[in-house]
Amino acid sequence: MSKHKIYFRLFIFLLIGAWCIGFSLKSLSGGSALSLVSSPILNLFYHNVCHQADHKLIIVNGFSLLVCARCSGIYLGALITSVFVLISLWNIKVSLILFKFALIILVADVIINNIIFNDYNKLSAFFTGLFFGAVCFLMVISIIENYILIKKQL
Amino acid sequence: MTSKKYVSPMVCGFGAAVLSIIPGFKAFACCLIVPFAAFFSLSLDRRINKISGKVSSRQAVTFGLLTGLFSALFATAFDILLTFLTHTNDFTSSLPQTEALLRSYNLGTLLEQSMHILKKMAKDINNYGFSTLYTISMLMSNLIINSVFGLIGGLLGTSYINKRNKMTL
Repeated sequence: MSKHKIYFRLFIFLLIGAWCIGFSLKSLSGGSALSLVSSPILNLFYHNVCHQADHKLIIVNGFSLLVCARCSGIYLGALITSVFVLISLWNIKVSLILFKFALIILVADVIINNIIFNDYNKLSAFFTGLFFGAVCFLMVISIIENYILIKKQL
Repeated sequence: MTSKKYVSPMVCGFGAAVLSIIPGFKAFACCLIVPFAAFFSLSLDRRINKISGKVSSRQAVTFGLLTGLFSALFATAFDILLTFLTHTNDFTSSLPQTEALLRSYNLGTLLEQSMHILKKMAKDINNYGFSTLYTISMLMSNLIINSVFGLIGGLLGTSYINKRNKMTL
């Protein structure tokens, strides 16, 4: 494993970590004054990424996250996978079929929850998002590492 | 890169920005519309220039980033225009609720300082239909988010196009 790859993975982990801390700051800090005061600005930022509908937000530690259950799942899936990828130093190869499978599950959950049953299930939204986030992260990292970083070294 | 190559990211970025201002679609703008726009810009460029070979990673990154950047610029421009015409937006309409919620925590002077900035932004929007601070914050967040998601869309699109090319050969 080259140094470039390790630094790159560390950089990506830090980026995703910062992103996840941003939307869960209120919950992580237990509602500290700074997190509460900064929440309107962070809200404005995350509003671009998520609809933030009240009934779709996960409540942790008495405070709701700034993104919905599905988005939280996607970002946490990416964060957890980035930790594993950083520790294990795998050479990642993900098939496009796995990505399609994760995407189909996610879309199916959206259709079932919002259109067929018309009742949002936070748990299924979170876990399908978690799976999709993990697969999507692996897919993107594998493309970057296998095509861009390797080509750069050649 | 020739100027002709900017056409497809610009067209797809514009399309993504138009879709992102439709109420209900806005929530999907970054995670669905922008990545798809990046994928379409790659496909469109290949059709315009009649390219049939493999898509390089450099092309994927360039098209993804450009589509993201164009969509961010157009989306911010549309948002500013709508705010200017209506003198209101999501931010100003949700501010009183946010303020009421924050006041219930008794945060003291720290809250007053923060609310002063936010209220100034809302006041500018209500009076003139434009706030420099709001415009800068929207532009920055759109640029960061859309370029990241555009990049992801470009990379995934490349993988899909290359796999499809392999199968047809």
